[in-house]
Amino acid sequence: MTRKIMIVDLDRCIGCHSCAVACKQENGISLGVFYNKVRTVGPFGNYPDLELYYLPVICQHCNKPECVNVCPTAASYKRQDGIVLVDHNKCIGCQYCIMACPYGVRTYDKAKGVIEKCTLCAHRVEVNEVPACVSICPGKARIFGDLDDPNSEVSKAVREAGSFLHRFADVGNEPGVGYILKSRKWRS
Amino acid sequence: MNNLNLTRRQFLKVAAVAGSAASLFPLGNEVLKGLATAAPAQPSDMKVIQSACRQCYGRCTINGFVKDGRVLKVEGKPGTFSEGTVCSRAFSIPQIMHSPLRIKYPMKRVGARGEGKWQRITWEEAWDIIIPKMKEVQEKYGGHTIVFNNGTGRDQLILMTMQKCFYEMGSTGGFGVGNVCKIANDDVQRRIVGNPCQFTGWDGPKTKTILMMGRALYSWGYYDWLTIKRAQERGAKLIVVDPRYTVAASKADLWLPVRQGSDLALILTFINMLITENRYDKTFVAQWTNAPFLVKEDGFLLRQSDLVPGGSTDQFIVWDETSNSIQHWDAKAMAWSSSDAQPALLGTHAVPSGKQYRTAFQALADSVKMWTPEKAAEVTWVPAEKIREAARLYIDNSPGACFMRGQKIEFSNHSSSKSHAIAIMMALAGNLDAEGGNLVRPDTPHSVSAVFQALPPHGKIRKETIANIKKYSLCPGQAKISGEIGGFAAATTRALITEKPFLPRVYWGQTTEPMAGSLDSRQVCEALKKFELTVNVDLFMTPTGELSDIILPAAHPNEVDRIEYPQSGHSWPAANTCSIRQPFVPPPGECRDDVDIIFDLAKRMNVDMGWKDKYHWFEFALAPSKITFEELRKKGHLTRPVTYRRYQTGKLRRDNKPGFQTSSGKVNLYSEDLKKDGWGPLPAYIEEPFSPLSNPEMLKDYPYIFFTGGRSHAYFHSEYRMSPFMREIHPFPTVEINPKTAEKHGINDGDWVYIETQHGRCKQRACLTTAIAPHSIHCDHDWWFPEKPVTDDLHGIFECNPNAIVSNDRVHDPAVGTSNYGGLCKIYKAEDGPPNGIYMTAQQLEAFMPKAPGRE
Repeated sequence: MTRKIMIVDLDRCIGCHSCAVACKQENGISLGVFYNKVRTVGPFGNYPDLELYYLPVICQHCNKPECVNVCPTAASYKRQDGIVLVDHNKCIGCQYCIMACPYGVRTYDKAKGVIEKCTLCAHRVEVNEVPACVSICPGKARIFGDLDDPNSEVSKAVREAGSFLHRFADVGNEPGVGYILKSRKWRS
Repeated sequence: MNNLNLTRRQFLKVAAVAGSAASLFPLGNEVLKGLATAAPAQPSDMKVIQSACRQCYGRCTINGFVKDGRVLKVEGKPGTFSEGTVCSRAFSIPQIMHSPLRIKYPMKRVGARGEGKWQRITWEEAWDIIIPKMKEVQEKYGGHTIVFNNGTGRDQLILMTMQKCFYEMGSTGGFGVGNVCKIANDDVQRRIVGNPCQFTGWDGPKTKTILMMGRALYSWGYYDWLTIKRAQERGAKLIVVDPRYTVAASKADLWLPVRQGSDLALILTFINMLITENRYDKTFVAQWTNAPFLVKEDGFLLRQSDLVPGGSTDQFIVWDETSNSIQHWDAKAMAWSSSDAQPALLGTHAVPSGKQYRTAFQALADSVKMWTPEKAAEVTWVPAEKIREAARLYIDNSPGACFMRGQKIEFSNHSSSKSHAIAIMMALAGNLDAEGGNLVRPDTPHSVSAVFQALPPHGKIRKETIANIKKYSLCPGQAKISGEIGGFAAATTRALITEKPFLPRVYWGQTTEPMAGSLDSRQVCEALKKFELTVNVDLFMTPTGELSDIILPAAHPNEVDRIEYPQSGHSWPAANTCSIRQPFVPPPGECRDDVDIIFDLAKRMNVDMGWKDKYHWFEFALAPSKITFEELRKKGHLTRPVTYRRYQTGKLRRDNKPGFQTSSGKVNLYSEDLKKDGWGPLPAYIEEPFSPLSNPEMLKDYPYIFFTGGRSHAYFHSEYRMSPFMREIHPFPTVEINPKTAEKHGINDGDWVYIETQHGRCKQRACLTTAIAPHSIHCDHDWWFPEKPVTDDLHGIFECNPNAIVSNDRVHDPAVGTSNYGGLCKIYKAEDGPPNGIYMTAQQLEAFMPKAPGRE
């Protein structure tokens, strides 16, 4: 099996939004829509005893994606390689998936009348390129690859991170994207 | 233009890009409609062009994907110092290049200044207006009444050719950003160390400790973060000195939350600890600095000429502990009078006449004695134990600890002392040109850095101007930017208003927006209106452009040929690299390369530029690297290997003798030059005016420290406000307020807020964050709104701009002309909400998107 996924090393992320903009260029996303949102978690505490980290949020490409289950036209689907996509030819913009997604990573694009979300740059993955956000990340914080291949960069990163690997809350959908955070307390 | 041969892998990738990148211009836009319905692009239609990014001073290497004269996308180019990474600003390139707001033809103003009425003219018509007026003014009033403004520059070559051209006309500068950028402290470093060493050249790959002051990582070259992170991963420590909990502070091993403008106290404390704890590098200090030189009671150094009638003024007297007698260092011969001299560093020593003199080092030790961590804590508001901890990290890891700074610490009435003190700290700790320390950036001819010395000799008019600088300078006896030419923005503004010491007549602005970046924007506006001729060269109609007589259309940096150098702030290999910047597409309309415009102006003004054009200059600059410009175009970049302790090998001096390129040949810890320029010979802490310590009675009405200068991840000073992508990620001028402070004033996150000083008020949108202290307010700088009509405050240049609320009537550093842009303020909710007519939604930003080809 293949499970393409992304791991983000938050200790290397500087919250610069370069991923967000690279993604917009690469995927021709409308103004006002982001596949990649960079959140600031914190600062917690009182000045000057503070801590914060940055958290890039994208589609989690869940193992059991609820967005796919609720889609009435089968526009949302999960590929063999684990990437969750929206077929814009089938999408009727009903937005059920937005309600079903626990992470708020889907956006309704009014102009296009369809749902937009991270594709893990499937068009690049098909020609053996990494997603745009991975390739340009100034902190080299993003790792992309096949989680089912024990020799892949992501598998190695997951093993090395051990208990410092975090995922968003699992409500039965089994989110895929992993976050490494060693220097701070995970609060997301 | 270099059309790369595509490999099969790239072929597939480009095919994929052609499918998606066409939609760089989103749906609803004519471009997409055109491209979406066209047959799928053939890879042979698409060119991949290697170049460099000029969206900030990082100069990352990039690839442009170009089809049918349009840049469809930009990617990082791997295999160089930037390792294929780029920041958000790179993605504004296609939007800026193809912006519907681009100026494409020369224009002349046909209405009143600021009325926005323009008429298209030809280049020849433009020159026919400019040249006779410039010649008339030069003849009638003198070249010094022609002022130019070079801003931060679309690149270094523009600055250098502008300076060359205008100085040769007799201009002494005028506006310009020398006093708010690294130029001011580069100038101090030249006097102390001989060449700059505080921004560029920190040895990240080998350092054990990084002391970073006033830099938040977003300013330029994000690849520096990779260097820092890798250093941390191998055990190096990062100390960040900043009043705000910036991204850098959040990644630091130790953050010193210093009070605004008090950072010099920390450095003086480090120096004091290095001396009193006997931890300074004695060999280096004794042999390679002027610390052992004896000092006279008038503050100047003791020379042979002071002891013997007719004696040399180049021979500096020291006390030699080997012979227990006086000896001297001959700065001309670059030699000691005795080959085994062991000059005394400390103490007071008698010369044969019996007169006693202190060593320069003793004078330094005495001057910093008061700076204990406890004393520094009172001034900086950083706890003494944290200061001690930082000093321990820096001192215990020296040699091998490096220092890095942002430009904000320049914003001070004593920035000379800061740069001076930092140089002393590095020298005492043995970190100058040492592994893991700070490498000096020499201007001796060597590969990849010739931009810094590749200028021809001065002409007749320029020499005459320099010889009589007091007469021709706009700030006689005060600022000397770059050590030679007078004039800086504050003085020029004042001269225009008061007509003293004389009235400047002609203004030439290029790559700059002085109303955004200079003190007191409204006064700058009034000043600009007084010129007889104003020319502005830019890509867009800017607020200053609106006040001009003539607008000349400039090419985008990715529409021209250039040798690119990562500027200011980087570790090596970036600091040792030059790369190709070549056009993705030709300039639109009648836009021209800034440098070509200057060469054209020079020819018409009969100025000898030394080189006949930029290609002539490129060949000269590349000669030490033994490569032609066309070869660089193919090769992409060149990196010079790093070497250490070059003061021992003669590589830092033009005459190839061991030592430093300074007046004494040694590091001038004790600076006679700074003394001559109105400073003391040793650094001294001066409290900024309008601070809680210097002006406590003001706190009653203005209770908060007001400061600016924090860098944005989306903008480069006043640039890119017309890029939809940048406006999306940084939509509004933002004021940071601590939630406790905001609560007192009933301010909520996202409210529009007035920030008011004694000089006026500006409006910004509140971001409530504990990253700022309750006693401080931080404002975004350089905001204006291209979408606002010119008739509304010149595109809104005053309403949200904190530089509009700082007075020009304040103390400037006498040696370099810098000054504090902050002060004290009060804040309150803006009941009238956001500024009128600014774009608030994504839908509105569509107006900034590139239009379809043929429909521009």
